[in-house]
Amino acid sequence: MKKKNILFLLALFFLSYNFCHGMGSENYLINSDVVGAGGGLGTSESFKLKDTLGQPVIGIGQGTTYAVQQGFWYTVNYSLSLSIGSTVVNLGSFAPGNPATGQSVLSVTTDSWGGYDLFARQNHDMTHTDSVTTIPAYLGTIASPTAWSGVGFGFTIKSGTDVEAKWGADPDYNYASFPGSDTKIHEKTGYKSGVDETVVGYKVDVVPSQKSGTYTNMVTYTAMAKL
Amino acid sequence: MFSRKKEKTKINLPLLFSVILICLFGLVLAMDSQSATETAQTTISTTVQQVISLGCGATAPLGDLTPGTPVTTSNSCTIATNASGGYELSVKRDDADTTIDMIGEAATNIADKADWTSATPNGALYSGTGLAFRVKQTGTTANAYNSTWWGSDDTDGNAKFAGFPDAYDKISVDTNYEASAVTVVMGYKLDVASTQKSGAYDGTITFQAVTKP
Repeated sequence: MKKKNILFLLALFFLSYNFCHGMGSENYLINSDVVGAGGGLGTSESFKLKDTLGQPVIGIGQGTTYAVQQGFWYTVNYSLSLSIGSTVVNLGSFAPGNPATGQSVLSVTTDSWGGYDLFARQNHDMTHTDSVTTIPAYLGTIASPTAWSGVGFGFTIKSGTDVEAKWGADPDYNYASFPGSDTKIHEKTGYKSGVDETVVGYKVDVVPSQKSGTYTNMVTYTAMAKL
Repeated sequence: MFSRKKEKTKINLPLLFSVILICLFGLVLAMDSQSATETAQTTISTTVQQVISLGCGATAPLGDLTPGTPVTTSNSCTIATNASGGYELSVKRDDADTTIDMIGEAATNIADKADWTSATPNGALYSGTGLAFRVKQTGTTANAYNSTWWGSDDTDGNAKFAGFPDAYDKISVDTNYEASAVTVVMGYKLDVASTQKSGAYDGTITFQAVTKP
């Protein structure tokens, strides 16, 4: 490769990396910047729109003495926190045929104007202390939760903001099994000031022959801000 | 006349490829830093309680008996339990003195064989007279059969019998979790002395199944 090409590539790499990781020094701060092919300010009587076109470089960059948010969308700085009421939920002791229930309260706080998505997954089916015997997952799926019938371990969304109709309503909730990988269980659209709570209900029942003893699993929830 | 020179634009493939790679690198960096996400975990636990059900034959008719010629019969008990530690099946006679009495004349008894004692297993080959029982190997779920207590098989030379105890004592112990129902086949044997008063006799015994932790 010719020398000038190598220099060109080095310059491109530097620009790409630097634009994504901020630019600044100990003496200045750029709140936001953008490299775009077009855009501008549009106005009407009621609205004002700022837009950019074809941003090849966006991202957040920060150092000990500077921070930069590159790209139009980073003029708004998202923050999101998710907390769960308790890190341990004991559904208690139950006899086969008499389901046990419990719940978790998920609290999301975000300044994202687009709201957030809530995902869930389990590490494995509820497993006996013998490490072998499991309680099967409930038959309903997140795509099509069903009224409680039969046995298994399932969940529903009991309450929250804009809860999807598929989850039913008290006392006729619809249940689904927890998947093994992150799957969206709830979507909150739009900005909400303060904490947004979602109550996830759990239910478990087993056949009479289900081995007695204690069963556990771990459920992971993920909240993701929506643009 | 003009001679037209064909000029071919040369594409520097290595350079183009490198530019694309660097752009992709930048794109990945940008995408990676776009989403605000957070996770939270909870451990969910529950305890399945032990349940057990027991069903035994309601009757075990021994039929007519000629003194000196033993009669036998059998019935079975079915135990269904989810207990991780299995179960114990016990039996006792309901009458304090002997298991069976003459009907309408309770004072006239048929003697039992020596009371079964699981703590010091006293099963023995049947001989002489008296009412006796045993757990039969044939038909009994393997885990539920104790050959030390009831003999290596059901043949006369090996089958061990004992009398019904006056208090519950275990006759079958299964320490395994059994996903399916367990069957315990009971065998009964009776002979009487030639002096035994003729007539109809009966009595009741009671079974009890208890889960093991």
